[in-house]
Amino acid sequence: VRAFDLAQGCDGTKQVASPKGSSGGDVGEPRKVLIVDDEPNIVTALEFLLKRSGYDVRLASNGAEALEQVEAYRPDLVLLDVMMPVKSGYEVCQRLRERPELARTKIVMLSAKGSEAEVNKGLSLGADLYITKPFSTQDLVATINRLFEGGDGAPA
Amino acid sequence: MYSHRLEQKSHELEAATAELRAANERLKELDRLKDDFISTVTHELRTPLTSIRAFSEILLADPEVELGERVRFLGIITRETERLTRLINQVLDMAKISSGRADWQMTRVDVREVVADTLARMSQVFKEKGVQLIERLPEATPPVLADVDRLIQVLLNLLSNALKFSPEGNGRVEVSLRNSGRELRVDVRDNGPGVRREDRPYVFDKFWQAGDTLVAKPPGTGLGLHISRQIVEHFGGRMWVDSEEGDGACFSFTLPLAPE
Repeated sequence: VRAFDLAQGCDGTKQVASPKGSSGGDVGEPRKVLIVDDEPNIVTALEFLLKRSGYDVRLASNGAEALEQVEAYRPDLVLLDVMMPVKSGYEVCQRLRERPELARTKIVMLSAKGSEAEVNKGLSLGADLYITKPFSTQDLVATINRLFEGGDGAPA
Repeated sequence: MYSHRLEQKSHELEAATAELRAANERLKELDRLKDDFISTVTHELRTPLTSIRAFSEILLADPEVELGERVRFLGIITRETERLTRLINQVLDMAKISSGRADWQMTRVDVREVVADTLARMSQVFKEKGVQLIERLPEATPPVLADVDRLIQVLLNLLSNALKFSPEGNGRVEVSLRNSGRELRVDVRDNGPGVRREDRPYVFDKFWQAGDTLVAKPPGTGLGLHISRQIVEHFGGRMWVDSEEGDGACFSFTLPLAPE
């Protein structure tokens, strides 16, 4: 049985299906998202938005921590900042994509660097999506929801 | 004879080509640095903007956000707006100085008086943070040629840096002024964590920031020291840092005495 909750849309007009697991894993478990960013304020915003939309959320503030968290937490989605000290988001993405057992883990890059070359680099390293900062919070949540609805969550 | 001259010409041409090639490499490097700079500025501008937009949208979309969180989010918006404003001002200031378009009001300046005034201005914030401010100033100093406002800008920058990295409660910042006969020297010494050896060459670089950025980014733009050094160099002086990790940092600069 597939449980559907109707989460409240950001603007009250649009209703989105809550992110309950629909394939593999325990039915009814919320989707797990790992947020990786070195800017505490942005982490706070993303955490608030995703929790409100029904996701289970964990945080990492740098690349090394992100790789550890992926082992322990096995997230369904990694929301990955690019410009971080020590280990960049590109490096983390590459490391994750080297491992076939993590092929189903979705990776969404979030970056204040938005040149075409940067976007292409992120996508060529195996990110599912590349979203530039600043982003529309409503679009971000809708895009992440779409990623889990079977589609590819067509990038804007 | 003819072939000898031809050979000589060919050598000259080769030398000229090598020179051109080197010049071209230098230009490419400059271009790359400029691209890096623009890309860093873009990143630094977009980051606070991201928080401002996200929290504004969160508050706009959801009137039910509980009061404590609402206050916290509005606080972030306000602080990030201030950070963005500082950043824009400093980038413009830096561009003005390095392009030579800054307006310098060079006059004979009594540095002792300027330092004493600036310390008096800062004394309240030091008191608030429980950081001791010690001044060691001579009776009088001969004048230097400088722009007073720019000199104050340098002093405020060094003092607020020292304050920022001083341990709250038992912090201690010592400011001294000395006359070596040819130049004046100002030292601003703190008892904070100091600058790591491997970081020392980068302290005056644009956008370089101290502290463990993974834990807490110090509020600042990473441009203050870079601009301060440019100002001091415009006055004909030098600026540097001495530090042992764990044993505080001492930022120093010199100002040549004005001709009689």
